[in-house]
Amino acid sequence: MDMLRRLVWFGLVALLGLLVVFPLAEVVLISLQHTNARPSGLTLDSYALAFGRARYLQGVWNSALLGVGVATLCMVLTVPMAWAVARTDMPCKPLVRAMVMLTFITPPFLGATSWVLLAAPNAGWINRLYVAASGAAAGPLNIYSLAGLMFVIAIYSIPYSFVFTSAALELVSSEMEDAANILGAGRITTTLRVTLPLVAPALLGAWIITYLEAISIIGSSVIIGLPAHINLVPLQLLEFFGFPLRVEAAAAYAMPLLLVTAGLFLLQQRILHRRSYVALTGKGGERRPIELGKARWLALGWSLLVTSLTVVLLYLVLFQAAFAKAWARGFGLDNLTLGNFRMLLFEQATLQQSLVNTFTYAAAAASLAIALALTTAYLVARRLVPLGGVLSVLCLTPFAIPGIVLAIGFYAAYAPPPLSLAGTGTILVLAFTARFLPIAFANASAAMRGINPEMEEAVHILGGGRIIALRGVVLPILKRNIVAVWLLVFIAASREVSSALFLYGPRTRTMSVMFFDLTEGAEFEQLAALGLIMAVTTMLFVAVGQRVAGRDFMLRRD
Amino acid sequence: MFTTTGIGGQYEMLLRDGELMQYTPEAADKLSQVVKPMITPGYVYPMGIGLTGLAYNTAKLKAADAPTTWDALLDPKWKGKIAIGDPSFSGFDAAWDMTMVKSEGFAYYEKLAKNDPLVQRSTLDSLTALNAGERVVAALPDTIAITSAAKGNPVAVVYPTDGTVMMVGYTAILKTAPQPNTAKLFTEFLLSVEHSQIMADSNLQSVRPEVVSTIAGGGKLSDIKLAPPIRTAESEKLLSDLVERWRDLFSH
Repeated sequence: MDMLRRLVWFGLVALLGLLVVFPLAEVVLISLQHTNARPSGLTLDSYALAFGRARYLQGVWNSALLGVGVATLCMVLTVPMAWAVARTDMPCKPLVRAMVMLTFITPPFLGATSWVLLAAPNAGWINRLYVAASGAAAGPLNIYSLAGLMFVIAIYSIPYSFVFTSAALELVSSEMEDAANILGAGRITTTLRVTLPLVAPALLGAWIITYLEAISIIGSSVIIGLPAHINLVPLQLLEFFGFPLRVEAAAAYAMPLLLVTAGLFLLQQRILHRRSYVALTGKGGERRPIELGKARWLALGWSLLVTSLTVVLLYLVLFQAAFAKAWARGFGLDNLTLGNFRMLLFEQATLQQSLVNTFTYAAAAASLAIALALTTAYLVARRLVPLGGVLSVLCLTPFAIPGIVLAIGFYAAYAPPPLSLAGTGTILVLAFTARFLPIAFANASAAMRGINPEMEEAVHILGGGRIIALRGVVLPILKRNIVAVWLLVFIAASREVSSALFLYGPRTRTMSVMFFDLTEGAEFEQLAALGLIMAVTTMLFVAVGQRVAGRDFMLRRD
Repeated sequence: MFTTTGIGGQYEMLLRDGELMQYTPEAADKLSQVVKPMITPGYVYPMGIGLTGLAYNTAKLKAADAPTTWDALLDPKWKGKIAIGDPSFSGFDAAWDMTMVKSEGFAYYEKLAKNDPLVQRSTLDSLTALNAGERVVAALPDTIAITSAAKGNPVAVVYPTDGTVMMVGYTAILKTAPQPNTAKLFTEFLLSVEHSQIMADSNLQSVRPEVVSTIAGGGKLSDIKLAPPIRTAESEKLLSDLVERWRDLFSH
């Protein structure tokens, strides 16, 4: 047993080293290398290049600004909705949850594309309707602006912050709020001064995750930022990765991203340590939904408004374009066709391959991430191995690495010989695994903490070994959780753009890469059709998964 | 085989590094006069021509009002009505940019920027912007506009009288080609009348005088004024400066 434990521990350390430490170290190292022929010794030349032009610096500043705007807007949109779902008697909660889930299934670049169709200054549907109705010369919206970009990224970041926020809110016991009520505080005061401060760590965490997503998102940056004449970190990184290739400069340019992220998480830790948030132990306490009275319709209205921005309008324009000969011609029988789907499904060789690629890589990454996360979580929770804390931190570190930076790290670490993994399925699976390992680990360790070790001890007393305890007790308890987390990682990986874009090869294109390529073609109709195909196939997987898991995968506590 | 437009000077880099195989196709001296000056003897040969002109949305603009020169785009009346692509993403746009910078200097784009053109990644995106009515005029390869118009989209193309941009597609053989004979045979095919006919049928221009493709509106290549072409050797230097300055102007 001891031998086995040591072997597993060694395997874990090696795997985490390969997935997390090595790529991260490579980013730092490569940023310090000479560009030409790599003479030995380190240099800051790449930093001089990466930050030696006003436009490059402007990109960093724009992205920082964008991140703050997106994260704040996203919280403003999400928190009332999450609060209403988690804490109140708002009607139609399953509907709101379903809409949030649909938002999660919808890849953000699909959202960006649809919002171009909706709010492009001259041709966008909303502007055209406004002009037709009011007779004004021009419509009010311009998606090609910083505000437009912020809005689009913010609304498609809602699912993550919703999950974080509502999960935390569900844990706050009503007793705390009752105490405030008894002391004379009204409902609003209680919510603002008791409930929300109690979930501050979760809110801050959600803010940071959204910020990170915003500063490293590629799809929306290209689809909206570029036409808006706004330079952004992802756009500049794409330029360094273009022709002529300047990987060293790209690595150097990514450093502020890493530093800002590390700084944010340190800040969060400090804030967390300053106060006690013991209400989040999850133990005891009664939780009653707050009665909103008539205001519950207001809450529902808000939730539906927000989710119709993300989902309803999007699928409306997407359906129109996907079945149209030319989308700008509008609705009409003479404009209907199935040609876009026929073209994609039967006349284009790459779609079927990329469909298979997408779901194979996503499934492999989800399985690998779960296996790694469960093993680590179990060993750490039961204190079976040394350095458990370090292992946990390693599993969570990719949270703090923007997708593009991780991709540069994987490229630097695994593309050159001897491994030469560039363009292979392996490198994509590894990168997806690393990128979404934190989601799997956070859930696995939370679930593991919920399992009382006494159950396993009972097995031991009855003469069973650890393997029997695992197979007979731990895994069956975790079964549903495992399926839910698997789905979560699977979906996230199946729509991943930022790391895929830097690592794919001719035979390993995924659907999101294909979509990204298609956004550069004139065929908006085909693009919309591809988007629908992606969304529908993902929904099928989710439907099957939910049947198996017996609950939604958004980690609701029922 | 290495087949590309050579924008960015890839052929010169490969020649410098000794990566290209020496081979003179039999069809070499049968190519048309327009492309003969573009040959790198023994190594790199033209195999097709694309033209970039001015496309416009026919539903929003009468043919008589459409701009007929590149300089016309600088008129303030086109403010907010132009679509272009980004040279760091799109080869067509890089070719157009280099041609314009060579003939009019970078000042052309500084003036164009005042008209707030919609900048997207690729030339094809400009077509989308035209078809959707998001913008009214765009710098666009004629083949793209013609193909789209044939599908029923409201788009037509004008060949600017101050110099339509010619973009040449080249072919060369890599020294390390695993099947050199196949590569040579394929090179012969690319330079053949048969392949030129395929080009012409796809609304591109042929490199063989035997095949005369028609341009949009029914004329011939010899009917329009071409801007002086950019040789691949010039493009490496030209492009690296241009992309940086261009992006400073349009992405900040």
